[in-house]
Amino acid sequence: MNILVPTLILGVIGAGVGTLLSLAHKVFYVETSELQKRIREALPGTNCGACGYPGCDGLAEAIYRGDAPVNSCPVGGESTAREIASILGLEAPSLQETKLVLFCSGTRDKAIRKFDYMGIEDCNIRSILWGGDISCPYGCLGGGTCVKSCPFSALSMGEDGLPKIDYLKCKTCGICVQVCPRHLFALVPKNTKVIVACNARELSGRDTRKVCSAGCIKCGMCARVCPVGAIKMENNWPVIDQEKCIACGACVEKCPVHVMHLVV
Amino acid sequence: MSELLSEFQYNTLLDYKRKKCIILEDLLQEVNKDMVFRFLGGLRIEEHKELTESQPILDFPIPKRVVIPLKQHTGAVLEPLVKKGDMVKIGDKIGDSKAFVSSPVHASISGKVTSIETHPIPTGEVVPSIIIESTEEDPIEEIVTENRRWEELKREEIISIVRESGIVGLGGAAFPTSVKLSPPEGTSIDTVILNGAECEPFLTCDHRLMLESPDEVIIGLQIIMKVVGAKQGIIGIEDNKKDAIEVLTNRAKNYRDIKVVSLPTRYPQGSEKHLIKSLLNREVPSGKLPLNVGVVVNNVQTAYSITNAVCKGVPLISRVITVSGDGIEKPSNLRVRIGTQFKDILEYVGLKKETKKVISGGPMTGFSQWTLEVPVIKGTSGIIALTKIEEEIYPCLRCAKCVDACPMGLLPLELGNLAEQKRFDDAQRLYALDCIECGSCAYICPSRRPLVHLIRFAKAEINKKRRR
Repeated sequence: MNILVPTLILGVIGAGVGTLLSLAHKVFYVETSELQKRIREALPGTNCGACGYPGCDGLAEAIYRGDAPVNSCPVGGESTAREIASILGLEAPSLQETKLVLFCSGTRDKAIRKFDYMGIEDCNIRSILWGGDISCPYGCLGGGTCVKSCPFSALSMGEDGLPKIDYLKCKTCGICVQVCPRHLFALVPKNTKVIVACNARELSGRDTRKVCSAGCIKCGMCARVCPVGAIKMENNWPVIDQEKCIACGACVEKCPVHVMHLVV
Repeated sequence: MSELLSEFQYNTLLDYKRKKCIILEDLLQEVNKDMVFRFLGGLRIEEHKELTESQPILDFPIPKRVVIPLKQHTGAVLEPLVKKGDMVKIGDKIGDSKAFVSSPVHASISGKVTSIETHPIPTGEVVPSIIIESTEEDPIEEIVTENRRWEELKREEIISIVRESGIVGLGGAAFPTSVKLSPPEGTSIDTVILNGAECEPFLTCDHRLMLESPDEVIIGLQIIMKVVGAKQGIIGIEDNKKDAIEVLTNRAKNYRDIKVVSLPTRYPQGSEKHLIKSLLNREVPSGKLPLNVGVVVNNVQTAYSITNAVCKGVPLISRVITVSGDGIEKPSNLRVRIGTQFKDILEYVGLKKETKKVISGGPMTGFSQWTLEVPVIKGTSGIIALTKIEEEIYPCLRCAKCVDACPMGLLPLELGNLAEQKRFDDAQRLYALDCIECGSCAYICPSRRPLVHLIRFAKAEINKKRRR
């Protein structure tokens, strides 16, 4: 019998609060237009924040109001942009498809380390101690800040100390591009075939050898071996014309420090 | 009352009471004169000073090669005044700047400038440095050029001598002393404090200096008092240095305006703000300087070099450092030339093979080094070699031991977590910029969290944002 009293009390409280809630839903109801709802449905719904708005709801509202262009979502890409454009009756803009690449080849065995770092695993925190534990002032610190920041779990820390990109999961949102303190990630056009996976533009070849055995030594071998003349040395740095490149792999093979990477 | 006591008895009692009151007041005054106040937080830490406490200061042999960085102080980077291939004499000025907050550097040996290149320094920066190779051995005594009486010099003359001699705070922060000695218009300084607390473990260089050259220290204090126009001078010494207190008290007896105060041994007693709180019960407000409460604080070694510069004309080209730790064969106190490389000093005292970590400065606030090529700079107070290093870092337990230990009354656990989450605005709201980086929180943390490292990171980011 005793059990009945608390059950009754809780039941009454539950019913009361439930009524209040349903009342509040009616009284404080926020009108959203049908268009905004449809825009929201067209967006990926990952709430990654890559667009700069607070989640997909925020972006849907901004697009509806006209504050943001229809191709603001880097994750959804061209198809999403086209869908939103058709909802709003606008012309679909062309959106260049991109892909993510890492401009460093300094694996743990190649980049020379000044000391063993012990402390919090974070690139920003790492770099305040003597500018980071690796000798190269441009290379990957290996703290995994990008891995932690990726909303799609597309990055993972490889055994060799460099982050690995899972192209099946990467949605090119560009958050890692923003968080990397050394700016080693970049979103490049989809047709990119070969990259120079090194960021040490400012260092001379001799200085590069001192800090990393995988850094570009500016020898110009890639430019000489390219059968179609797609690579030119500009300011002592190989610049690749991706339109001309046929992805034959000649430069990748001949590069003495193996810094040319095929990214097809 | 009168019913119970006769008139006579009552008067006697009153007299007795008055007398007692007077006696009490006298007693209180007697106590008050040397009353030491307590700051919040702080720690008692293992001192390890016995390793070098009784070692007299030895002159380190003149090194073959010195590296003189052009930025050893807080402030602007200097311009070199010499070129590659120039011959320099000991005591020559080789770098200077027009900036107000800067301090020139001098050649600490005679020889040839072999190059001017960037070189790492113990504070973690890489700065342009002048490298001199020795050609002849010059003892410091040779450059004693002047025999001035400081009493006859004017205030401005003394400040310009201090500036030209390149004197900076030798406690560790290396703030140019000439700037400290010229307070802005409108601030009145009533007290000069000499910091002889030396609260860092292992370090004994200031202790030995006070024992071996007490007269220079006291003259230095008098010079500073004259320049800033202070009425009293206090030398604060932690009570684990009884012999130094005794020696200095004996010397100070001759001067009415100078006193020596024994302070309780409690880390960080030697911090500027805590020393002021302990000695004068004044608190330096957040974001303000000791100047704002009418106090100038200088290290005893700074006072010693001021005396040398003003009375003898010797610029700051050498300093006393302590080389200690369980990784050192012969722990000692050495007088070394500025610019002597760590490897030379460690070779001289013997570095054990099992050494894991070499720290410049004290173990609480110092910087661990990755190369022994770094030179001794003006702010280097010691070299500590340790054979054990911290183990793994665990997550914060929120035990709040760091809150009890923090002498500034901050919340290190919150600051550390906020720094890790990159919430710098919140960290600033919790007064991250007031952190004095004393290391008490990291010392006490049972999870071995590198709290100072994290707070330093937060401070750097906040300052970056401010400058923008």
